Amino acid sequence: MQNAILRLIEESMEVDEGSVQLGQQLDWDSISVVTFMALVDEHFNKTLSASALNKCSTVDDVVALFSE
Amino acid sequence: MNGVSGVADQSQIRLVNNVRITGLACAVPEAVSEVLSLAELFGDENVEKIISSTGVERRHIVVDECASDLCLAAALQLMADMAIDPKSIDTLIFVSQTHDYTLPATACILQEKLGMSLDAAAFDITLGCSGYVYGLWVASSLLSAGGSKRALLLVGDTISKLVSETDRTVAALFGDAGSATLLEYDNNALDIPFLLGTDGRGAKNLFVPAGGFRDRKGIAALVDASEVRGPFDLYMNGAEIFAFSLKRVPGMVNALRELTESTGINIDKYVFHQANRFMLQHLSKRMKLPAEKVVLTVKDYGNTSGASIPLAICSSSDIGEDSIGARYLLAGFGVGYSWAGCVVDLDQAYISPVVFTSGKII
Repeated sequence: MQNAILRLIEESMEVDEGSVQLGQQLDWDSISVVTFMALVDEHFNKTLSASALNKCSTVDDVVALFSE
Repeated sequence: MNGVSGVADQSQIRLVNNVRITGLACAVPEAVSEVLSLAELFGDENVEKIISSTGVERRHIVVDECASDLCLAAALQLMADMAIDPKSIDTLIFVSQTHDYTLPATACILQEKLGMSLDAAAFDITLGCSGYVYGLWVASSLLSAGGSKRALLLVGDTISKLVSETDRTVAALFGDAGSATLLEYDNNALDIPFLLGTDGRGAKNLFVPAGGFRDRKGIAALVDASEVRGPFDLYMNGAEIFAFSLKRVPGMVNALRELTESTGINIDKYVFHQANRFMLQHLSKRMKLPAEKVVLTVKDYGNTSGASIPLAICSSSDIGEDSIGARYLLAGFGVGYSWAGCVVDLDQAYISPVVFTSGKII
């Protein structure tokens, strides 16, 4: 699950596989955020809260949204 | 129930009978603004990323014209093409968020410019993305109940006038357009099912804070203060709007589709509010709609607010064909939040070619 989330973050940011790891700061723009929401909707059938996602500052914050 | 789940059910469908859409025309300003020209401001890489996500490559943008001028051009074209006497139209509805003046209602000004009768009813409705379907609902309900015999629905916006050039989230997205739709009473018309909804909790996610009467002078900071836009400029929280659309649109579309298919009729085309390509492709995938049935015209026009649904129909129809296909499922959603969908029969409707206005104000 955690790895799958990291892969979706990479895909939404258009960066190489394996380049996003736990413990990193998130540096993504608004297009990456909505792309990530769409990927999560598609792969996990889950609609993330946009306000919660916008508050995430690290990769770990994003992963934590999935355990809520 | 249309509650937390976001699933609309068929008991909420509002059925309007004995009304037909008989004609449709759209107008855009002649001047084109290429999204690539924003590269100087935002950088090549950012602009390419915006284009590849939104799908918007260029938009038609007004210089001085108002939404009413674009709607007027569309209406004049439609009436000329269909040989309609403006005095035969008893009701004029103007749907826009970019009206000419604080007062009077723009519909009053249009009554005179169109040469309509002094007996005409004319009024404005303030809605955006959902405005076209809302306008169809109001006009067709009036006609169905005997309140009108022939109604002209004008829907248009010039959102370019509300956009800050330095705000990357909206600068490359919006175009300007106006539309004119003629609706008439007809005993033989097929029923039109409508689904409508509103959630004011989302009001501030697509928002122009100042210039109204809550904050006339732009003093209060109602959305996050930012260097890229002022209080009179459009603010958009794209992620929130996307989440809202995911929650509301599939339920609405599925309920309308199921009702239509239960009567043995298939939907020929799906025409959604042309928000951006990313949103429409994701929603289509989510609803498992065949791509060839989903109309997408953002590339050359951008997001034209309430006019985007009629503009998508006009610009994707092959003019001169006997029929553009019968059943169209229309769905508008966004600013408000407000959403509205319907299934209309355009089999006998006249569709004008898109009009390009010269910028000269009549």
